Amino acid sequence: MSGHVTDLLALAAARALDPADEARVEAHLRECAACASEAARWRHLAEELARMAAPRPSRGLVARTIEAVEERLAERAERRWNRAALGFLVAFAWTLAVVGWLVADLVRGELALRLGSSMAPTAAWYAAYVVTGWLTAGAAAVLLGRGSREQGRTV
Amino acid sequence: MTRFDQEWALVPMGARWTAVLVTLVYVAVMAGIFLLPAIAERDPKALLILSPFFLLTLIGAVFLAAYVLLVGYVFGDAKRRGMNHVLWTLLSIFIPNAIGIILYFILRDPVPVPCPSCGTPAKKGHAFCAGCGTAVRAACPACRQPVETGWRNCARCGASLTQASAPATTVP
Repeated sequence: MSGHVTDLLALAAARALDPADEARVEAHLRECAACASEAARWRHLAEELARMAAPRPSRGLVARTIEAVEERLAERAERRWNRAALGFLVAFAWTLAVVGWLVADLVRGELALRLGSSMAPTAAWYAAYVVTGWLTAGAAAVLLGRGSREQGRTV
Repeated sequence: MTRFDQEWALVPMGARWTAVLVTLVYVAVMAGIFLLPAIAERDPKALLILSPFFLLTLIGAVFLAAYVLLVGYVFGDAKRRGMNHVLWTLLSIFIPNAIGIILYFILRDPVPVPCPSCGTPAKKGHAFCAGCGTAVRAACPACRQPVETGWRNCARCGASLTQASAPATTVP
């Protein structure tokens, strides 16, 4: 007979099926002796399991589990906070670069006017400064990252 | 107390006062460059023209103060985490554009857990308190190194952690 519901029998015995599947299984069991026999075995197993006393975890296991869950939650919160802080810092760094250039250019223009001398345009100098900063940071990241590679990171 | 308040408390008072001082010096310097000559020359027209530029440069004061406070935070936070706080503070100051601070946030160690017995901070890599020897984290029963939740075998010595006795040590 086609359309066996073998895969659903364990769930049916555990009463974990949704109403539509439950109705389908019951309808099939009325017509299929093989499935009905297997369903009976599953029901028997479920009844025996229900009769057994529920296992009680030891106090140590409960404490360890709570401890592990708390640790995991704290780590997750820390990671979330770190990501938000990093996002803020990256935005801060770029805004700082732009504001720094703006202020430097204003000051240069005013000083050049006051002193009556021609000063080199700040854009080139500032670009060189920013690039040097990023290169220095890259080198520092490589050097510092080596030391902390083996340790847990918070990001 | 919010998380922000907790983090703010890590900024040393010295850094807060330095931020105020640096901001005042910055404003004074900018006033000296943009406003003082016009005031000295008693030129109200020049003063009127230069005032918006002066105000524009004050945006820099906000960033400068924030930078100093962030450096102060790096100092306090690195100290709390048992890292080399002097080195990280110097890196935060001398690597420009706050990149040193970003590096710090990427590479900083986790916050140490206080020992339940004596309160000595225990770093993430430590399974036992350095002060009193109390177990502060689950450890491998064979090599006594800290193990992580979900490990079935010790990642350092390979010992099985699925036996009833493992992990050998937990927080009491």
